[in-house]
Amino acid sequence: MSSLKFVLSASASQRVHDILSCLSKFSEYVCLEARRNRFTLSALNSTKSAYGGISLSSGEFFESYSFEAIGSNESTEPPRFTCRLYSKALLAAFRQRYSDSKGSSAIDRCEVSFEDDPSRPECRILVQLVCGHGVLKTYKLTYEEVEVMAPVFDKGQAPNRWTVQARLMKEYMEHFGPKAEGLDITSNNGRAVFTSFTEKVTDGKEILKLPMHTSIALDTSGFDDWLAEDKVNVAISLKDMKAIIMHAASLNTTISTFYSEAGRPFQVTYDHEGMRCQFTLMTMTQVSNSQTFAAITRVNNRPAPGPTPLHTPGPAPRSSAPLFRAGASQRDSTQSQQAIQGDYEESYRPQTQPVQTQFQVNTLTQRILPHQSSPQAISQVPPSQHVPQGLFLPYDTEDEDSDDDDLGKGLEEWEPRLRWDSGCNDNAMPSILVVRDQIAPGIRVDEREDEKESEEEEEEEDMGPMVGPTQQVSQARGLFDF
Amino acid sequence: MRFKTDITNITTFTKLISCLSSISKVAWLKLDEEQIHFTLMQEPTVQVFATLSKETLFSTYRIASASSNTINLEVPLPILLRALRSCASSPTATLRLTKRAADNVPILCITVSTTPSSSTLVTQEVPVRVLAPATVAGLCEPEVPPPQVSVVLPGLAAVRGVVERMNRLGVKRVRLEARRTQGGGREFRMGVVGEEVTVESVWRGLGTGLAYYMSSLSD
Repeated sequence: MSSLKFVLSASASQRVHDILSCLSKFSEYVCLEARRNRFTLSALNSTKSAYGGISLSSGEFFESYSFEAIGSNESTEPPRFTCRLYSKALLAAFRQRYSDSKGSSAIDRCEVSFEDDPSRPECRILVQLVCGHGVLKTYKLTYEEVEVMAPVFDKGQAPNRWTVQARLMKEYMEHFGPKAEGLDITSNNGRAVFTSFTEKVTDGKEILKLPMHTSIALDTSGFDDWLAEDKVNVAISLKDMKAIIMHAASLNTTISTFYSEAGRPFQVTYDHEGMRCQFTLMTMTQVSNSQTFAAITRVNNRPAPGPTPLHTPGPAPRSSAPLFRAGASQRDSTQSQQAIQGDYEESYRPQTQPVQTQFQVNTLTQRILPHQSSPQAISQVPPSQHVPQGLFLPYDTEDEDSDDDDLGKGLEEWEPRLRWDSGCNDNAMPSILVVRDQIAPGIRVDEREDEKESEEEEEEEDMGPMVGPTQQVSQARGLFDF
Repeated sequence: MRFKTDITNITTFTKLISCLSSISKVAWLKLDEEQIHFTLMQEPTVQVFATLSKETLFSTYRIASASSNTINLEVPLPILLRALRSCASSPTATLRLTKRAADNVPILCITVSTTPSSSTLVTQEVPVRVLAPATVAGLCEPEVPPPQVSVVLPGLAAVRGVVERMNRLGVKRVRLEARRTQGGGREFRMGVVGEEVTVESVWRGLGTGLAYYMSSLSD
């Protein structure tokens, strides 16, 4: 049981509204997480291929903020409260602002408190907008307490990065057609190329259904920073990126991106006045043939020596074995779709299970930290026994500040692998076992974040039990299932 | 088959395509050495035949094809419009017919720099379909008999205002009438008959366009 109250100024309420409208583009649920000195709103999309988390610092963002966890919390972890609710519901509470902002009944401040009283049948958030002329608008919203899952992204493993003004990116985004689905990012010889494309395969007869590709080539000198390797292609969902850029542009800030290669996660971060925003997107595992854009070479105005060979990445070079052994088969679009699904499974740890063959299970368990293994392993072993001792530090060595720095932790503090974290649930709240063929947000708690200090990097993980695949590939959710 | 040109009049081109795309989604674009033809024949109720000389929109126009340097394309207008709109901010753009390397789909590729000085290049690829000469051989503008009355319409803004108001009355058809009056001038009427209301607009004293029509026939 815990109590959480905070007060937002009028402009902060506006910010929260913007955050919610951005997160609502990812998922219909928004997850809230409260700690002693920060409050995080996050959303995870239904295919678990995109995550957005915005962390508000209690000192800077709120007029006042108080969070106390009352009740039995172990001394090994800081107090933490998580829940989720429909983003539309929360958005509705904050939306009122627009009509009021001009009138005399403008919002003066917004007071939010969480009623977490076991004696009452429902958990409620109380949002009160104190407006001019003594008008008080009260919203009571129900929420459910669930564990929140957050991805772990190792910036150290993401050598490719660039920084740019969000406003500039927004202008570029406007050139892309509204129906385009994917955004491919690459660079060559001082020119960066952003291309929008659609994956759909059509037979060319219905001309209206053929996709329009748009390509923007710019000098990397236009960016604040461009530290990405040439000829590396990554492709992300254009809609997700648009939502992120729109939000960042509204704050007039600079965005930074971090990525490594196709198939590995891609992160966009930006900060503004006590808000720390972080979005992690999954990239498509391989750039299929249809995406090797002629534009990449054509727009290279520099005299290139003859026709530059188009960059056909083919199967993305990854440390793990390809899911389909025959390399040629990956050219075929249907198989590439499956490859995407399969790869997605691999990188995103199961809620879905890795694809069959014993070989792959072996390979996968090398990549994925096995003590963090699948829900089945967890269901077999009670959580408390499952966690190696080294992960969790004694409570007293932890700083207050470490909460704040979690999202921005650098290389030395994260495990040297990119993956989703389904850390074991250590606190008193019951963990929610997810039905494996249903993808629902709010699954596992990311305990790692609070407990780790920089020194405690885990090098060795014990190999957990080998678990056979338990889900059909056909049931697995892919990146772009329709 | 090759086609490459600079678009010098992006605004007019965009307006033209915008106008055409509100009538039909697909157009037959015929490019030859001197002229550009847009033909819209998909809709049952209205067909459009537009011909422009290449200088209206383009410069440095280069075309070559096996069938007497004529190229026939089926073009999706909404996509072309979207591509042109993103060029709005710059004075010139390049239009080129080529094939998308990835899947060999023929495309009209529009390349433009966002601002004249910058090296930022935006490339829009509009998928098109090449039509064989045999396919389009049969399509031509229908013969229209010579007019009995020809009248120059009043200012289009006024006519449009009237049409819009009539449109709101929930009627499907409008009756158009043009006649020569006693004094030699021309009169133009538009009328709708609704369930409860009848509206008619009359413009008088209009000029005739007959002289213009006769001269264009002799070209």
